[in-house]
Amino acid sequence: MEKLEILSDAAKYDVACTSSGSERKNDGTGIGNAVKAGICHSFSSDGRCISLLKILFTNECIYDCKYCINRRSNDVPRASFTPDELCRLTIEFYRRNYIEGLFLSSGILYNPTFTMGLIYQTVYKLRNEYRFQGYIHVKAIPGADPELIQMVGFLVDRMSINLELPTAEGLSRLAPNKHRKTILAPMRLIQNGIVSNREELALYRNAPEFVPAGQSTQMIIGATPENDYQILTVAEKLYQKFDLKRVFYSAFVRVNEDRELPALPGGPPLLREHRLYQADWLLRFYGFEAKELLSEDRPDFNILLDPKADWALRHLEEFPVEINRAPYEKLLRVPGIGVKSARRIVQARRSSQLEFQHLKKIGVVLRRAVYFITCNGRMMYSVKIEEDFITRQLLDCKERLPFDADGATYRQLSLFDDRRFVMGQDQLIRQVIS
Amino acid sequence: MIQSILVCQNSMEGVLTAIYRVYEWKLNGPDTMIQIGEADLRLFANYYEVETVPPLAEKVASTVLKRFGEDTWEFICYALASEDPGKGQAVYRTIAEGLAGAIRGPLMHGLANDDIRKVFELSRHVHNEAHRMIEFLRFREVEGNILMARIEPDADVTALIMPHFADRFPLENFVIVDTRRRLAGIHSARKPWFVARYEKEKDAQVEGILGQYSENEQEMEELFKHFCKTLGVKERRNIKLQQQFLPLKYRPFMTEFT
Ligand code: SF4
Repeated sequence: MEKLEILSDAAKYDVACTSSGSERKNDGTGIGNAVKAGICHSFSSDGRCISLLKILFTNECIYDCKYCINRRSNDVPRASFTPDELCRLTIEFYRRNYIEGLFLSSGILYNPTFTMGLIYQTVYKLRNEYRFQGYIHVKAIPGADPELIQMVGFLVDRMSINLELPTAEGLSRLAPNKHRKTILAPMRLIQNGIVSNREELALYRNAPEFVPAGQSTQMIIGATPENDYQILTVAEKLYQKFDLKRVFYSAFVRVNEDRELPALPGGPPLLREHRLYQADWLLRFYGFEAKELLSEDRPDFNILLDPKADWALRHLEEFPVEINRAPYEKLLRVPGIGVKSARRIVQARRSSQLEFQHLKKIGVVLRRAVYFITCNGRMMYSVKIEEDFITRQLLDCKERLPFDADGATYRQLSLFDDRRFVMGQDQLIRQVIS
Repeated sequence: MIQSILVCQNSMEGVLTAIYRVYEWKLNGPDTMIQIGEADLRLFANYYEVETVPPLAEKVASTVLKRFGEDTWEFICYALASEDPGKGQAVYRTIAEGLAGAIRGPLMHGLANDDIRKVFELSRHVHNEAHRMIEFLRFREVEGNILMARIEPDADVTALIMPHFADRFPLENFVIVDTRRRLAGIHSARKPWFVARYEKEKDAQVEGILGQYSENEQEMEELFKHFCKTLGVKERRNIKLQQQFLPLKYRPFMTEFT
């Protein structure tokens, strides 16, 4: 019990907890399957999904990353599992429908290769002795023997290697034992593994699968001074150059006292994290590029508007968009129209000309979209497409923020969230807000 | 013209049989209605009691499958699992529109039609609930190594979620009990699953079994509770968000909230 508490407590700051990306039926000889979209089984008190048994093999660590609760110089209770203990726990939780599988990470015991070996033993047993066919996500340890990483890749659904901090400078300041190179090398290795496995699978359908749910990574936001533009550009590169499935952003939580770490009077920068996730969606599903959303001159997201609305307001010449004719890609760029709505519009307009009342019927929310669209040449209300006016309207339809809760007001959050505030230039941010 | 109203049983077979009769008895028309359960009597209407005949229901099912494909059939199955009193009528009209060739393209894309949209919405609703059950139901191990789960969903989703668990746990003996409808989805290791009904007299016995613990059970439940508790990051605490994702009504049967 104590062990579970220590080792799940130490793992909780990792934000990735999705069980998506793999589709697998049970072969009839064991336990478990995998569902493409992933399944959440519960939600913790911070509103995050609980999908996997997220846990460390050990919280012992030879490194001393400044932001990490498990760093060598911290005096915290330490514990380690054995492979069998972890397997049993996974199976027993899984049978009761508590979880979709295991998310195994670890502090570094002795050295990276030794640690990776322990992880390998665990997932090998889980797959082969316990016949577990559910979801497994494993953290690859930078600096571990590449062959070992490769072997683990054939047993798991997803692998991730945390970038930790958006830039190499940030990394060397806060994680002196880690190097950008040792992080990117295994990322490349896994990417290549996935590519050649795809070719293999095309030839032999029964070839073993290598990391079928792809790889992901995570960056800590707000521990170092990078701006949103830098962060988003890094994410874009990771998607393009490393074929990552997901980049996760983790608002920095100050668990250690350290001169190098920023003080965050308003708590973790949750609004900033939220804006980054919104922008990340725009990159992955809406055909946007980082440089369309931000620039050197405007390196941070608008506190008051989501990135898509913000973009639209700066590109009013692209609007209004005609619902009955605009290509799908254009529909996607309308504030208030998401992937689902855009698809429904394209489907429905095949059988009839769409008017505003039809849009409502098929579930398209017009509140924000009305300022940007026409149906058969007409807008819903006669409004001018004019920046000030629309901005005011959009600000009036209050955005639903995921953390607009538990008493903290929007303004407090936005104030403390801003990067510039973190950097100590609160003067500037006060001007922006009031 | 006098309206025709067919009254049928509240089940998938019931509604589908009624649809069969509409055509057989040449009653098809915009005024014809299918009503579920008790007839609410109106003047100026002809009432027909429809007795459920599974083979006739099956005929309608295979027509829908053949004419409109598997996707449409799935929408209809899910819609019929809802408890909405208008589901029979909406499904009937949807099938009628389809058979009359009134909709261009796939039937379920014709969302501008009110009945089709209703089937679509009911189906989506039931889908969501089935999905929530797949997420949130919890098994408890009782004596004899059997896994028991209790649910009380708004829609009749037991048969819709059994395939998921049967694929996942081929070697387990498990039972999902809908105590609201007195239904039990039963799966024995390596065998096909089925759904059985039980009578009111069995309630106490069912409660008894659901309340049992195997030897390990309590320890596992405690472990999971601790796990969930530790996982929340206190600097990010957000009870409203938790509630938005995990409505209170699902919690009574969830290990980590009891
Ligand atoms: S390597 Fe760094 S981040 Fe990982 S457990 Fe050790 S101290 Fe923490």
